Amino acid sequence: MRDVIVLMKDIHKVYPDGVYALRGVDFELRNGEIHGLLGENGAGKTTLMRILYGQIKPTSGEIFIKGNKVRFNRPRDAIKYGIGMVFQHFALVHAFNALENIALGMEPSKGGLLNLKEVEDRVRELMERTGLKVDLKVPISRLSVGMRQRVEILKLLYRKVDVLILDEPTSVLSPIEVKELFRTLSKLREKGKTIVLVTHKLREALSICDRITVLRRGKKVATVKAREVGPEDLAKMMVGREVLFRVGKLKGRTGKEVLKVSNLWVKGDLGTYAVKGLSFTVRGGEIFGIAGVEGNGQSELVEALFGLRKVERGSITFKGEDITNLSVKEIRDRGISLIPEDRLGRGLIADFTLTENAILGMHYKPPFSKGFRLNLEESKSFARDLIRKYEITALSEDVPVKFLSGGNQQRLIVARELSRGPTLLIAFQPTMGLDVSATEFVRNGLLRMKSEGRAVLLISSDLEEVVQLSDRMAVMYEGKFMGLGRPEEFSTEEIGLMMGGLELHEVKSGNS
Amino acid sequence: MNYLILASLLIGTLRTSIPLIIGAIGEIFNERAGITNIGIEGVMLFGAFIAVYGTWLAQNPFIGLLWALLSGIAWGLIFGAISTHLRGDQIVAGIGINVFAMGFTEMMIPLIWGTYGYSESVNRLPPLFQLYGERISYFLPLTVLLAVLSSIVLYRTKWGLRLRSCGENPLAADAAGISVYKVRYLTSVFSSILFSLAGAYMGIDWNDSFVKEMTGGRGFIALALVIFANWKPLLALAGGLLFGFFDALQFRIGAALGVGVPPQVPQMIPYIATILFLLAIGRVRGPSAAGKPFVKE
Repeated sequence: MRDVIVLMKDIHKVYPDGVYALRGVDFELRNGEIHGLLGENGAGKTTLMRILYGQIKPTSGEIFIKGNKVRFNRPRDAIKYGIGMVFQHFALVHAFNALENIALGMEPSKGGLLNLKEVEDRVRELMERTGLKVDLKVPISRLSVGMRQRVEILKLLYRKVDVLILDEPTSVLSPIEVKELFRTLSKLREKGKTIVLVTHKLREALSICDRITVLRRGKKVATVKAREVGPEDLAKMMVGREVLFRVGKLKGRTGKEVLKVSNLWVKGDLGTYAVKGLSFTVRGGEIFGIAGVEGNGQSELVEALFGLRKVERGSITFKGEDITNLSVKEIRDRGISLIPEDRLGRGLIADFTLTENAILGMHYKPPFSKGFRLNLEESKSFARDLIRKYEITALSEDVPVKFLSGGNQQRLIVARELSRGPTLLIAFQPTMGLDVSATEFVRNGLLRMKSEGRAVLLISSDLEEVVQLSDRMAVMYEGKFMGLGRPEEFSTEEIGLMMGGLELHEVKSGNS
Repeated sequence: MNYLILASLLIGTLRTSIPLIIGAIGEIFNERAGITNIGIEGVMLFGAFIAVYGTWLAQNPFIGLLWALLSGIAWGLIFGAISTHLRGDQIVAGIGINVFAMGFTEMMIPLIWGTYGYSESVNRLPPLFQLYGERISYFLPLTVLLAVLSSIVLYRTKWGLRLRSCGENPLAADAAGISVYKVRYLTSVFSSILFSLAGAYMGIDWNDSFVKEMTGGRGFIALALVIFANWKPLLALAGGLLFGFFDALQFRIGAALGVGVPPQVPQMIPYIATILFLLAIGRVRGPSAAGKPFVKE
């Protein structure tokens, strides 16, 4: 116990909307270790660390730093106790250079004037000691993502932080940058710093961590020594055993090939490739599922398929026709529908009524459009139809959709998209944040599409969902498929390994 | 003779550039901190009015100046609240201030002085000295000092660094422990004081009475000057003299043209010059977060 630097005891966190993020987690951090915090999306990793960083308050539970009980109200308090965190989205001022960013909020002054020279001297010394080399005088906007991350780390070191929490630090880095980051982390450990690495990547966790704590659905599964476990053990802990393989899956008559994606390359917002040479097909009467932890290129894939993002290389073929880089309207008109990830962002217009949202995307066509006017009567009766058929709970069709519950909003999107009778339905995280009945409703909708001989592409980070619904599935990791096949062919463990970045052939050979 | 015309044109330039420069520097602070207040014209006009009214009541221009200062603080607090806690639309609020100030001041003239369109004459602030029979105002050296000090504060002090971080990336500023709302409130108050004092200068220094719409769009020219100066106080000083020159030129040309030409023709000069300058400098990039309300999750 003597070298325990952070101790979190029985931490619970319930968000105001009733979501349980953490259900009694204990977490222990020892001085000078690199500690991996492993788990799937929604396991509570980031929530737990944001509590430690003082950014959110736990519903209950206690935190001890070096044996003293503490209560953090804001990150500043945590920094005072030597705890700092680097987020996935950096908090840097792009117009400032590294020095100004590092100094911001803790600026030394001399005679009333800002003394950046003093900052520079200290930062140069830090760079010397840790090997974190950064060009200090260039605006952040001209630095690469890896460099920006270094600035964030230097910012914490400048604040004399002893415990560094890094939230998915490698998700934005290239392989070379990851290597460099890990070298730096080892060096920081030598200097006596303690590091928490929040990640879902098994190999990374095993390669650098001393100990690893695995969380699943807001609970701690175990804390293990990295030397004593293999990726299989971690995968099992991370995914759990409760993935049920649906028996008696509806056997649809698989029809013709509807969607064909070949060697697809798509860039992410940061200008680096997020989708790296994907190839797959989806046939009529089948559900093709793509599993994987969020942020591994799924958004970029969906956006590229739907014409929202540019395809750099490769092609998308729909019913034999090349639809690569067509506009959204052209793609929709060909019979492709999307249930988007972000309900109120891309799915609905919050301030519009149910009626207006129901005809959105079809509003310019008859019968909803008559000359240059909207046919409101027709639109309303269409909306009423959807409300009845899809059991949407709403006072009337004239209510703005922002007053509907999340489940009913999703029902409306599903209702609208299914009613268009698409040849291909792309469902992206279709049940995220929904209650049991709405989830069931959406899943049944997908299965009905399939039984009608339509093609469904399901992309979800809910592994259970993908396994249960899909006829064929792939696991996506860093823009690539780690494996592709029928869900029955994979064990839970194998899927977990693929989600953690191991390819199928490695998984199979490692297991046999 | 020509020499005298030139001298009076130059002195005129100094005189007309003062409110432009002060207004632009105020708005530079605003936008650097992430606020966009296009109500400069309104706060200025209100400042001119309240300064004249205060001077008239107390028979003392310094009391008028004090009133304008208080008026600036009040407008700054109102706009600060709109752009922070209330998360209002800053453009609409700015337009509202302009329209309100225009209507309110015009309405008050007959209620106070019983005349339409212009007030009684009041005592002016004392001049620094006289040059060729022209008054040189205390505001002139103070404006130069303001530009220099502003530049130092924005770029050489920690307060400037913090202020600019709020205008570029308030999330990063917040993460660094800076209270974005506090910075924006204080900045809004400071800049509105400047707008209001620029108005007071027009009411009780440059002139000796309040005339309806007497700011004549100078608040908007100041807004253009902010862009022209690339959000830098020293460039605003230089650019302000250039803009002021055309403002002074209109009086000269108007006088030279005589009665044959409609007075509106020379009066267009500063505005046309403003448009041409902005066209000439092309695309510019201001602070990233200017005008965007900051919402802490």
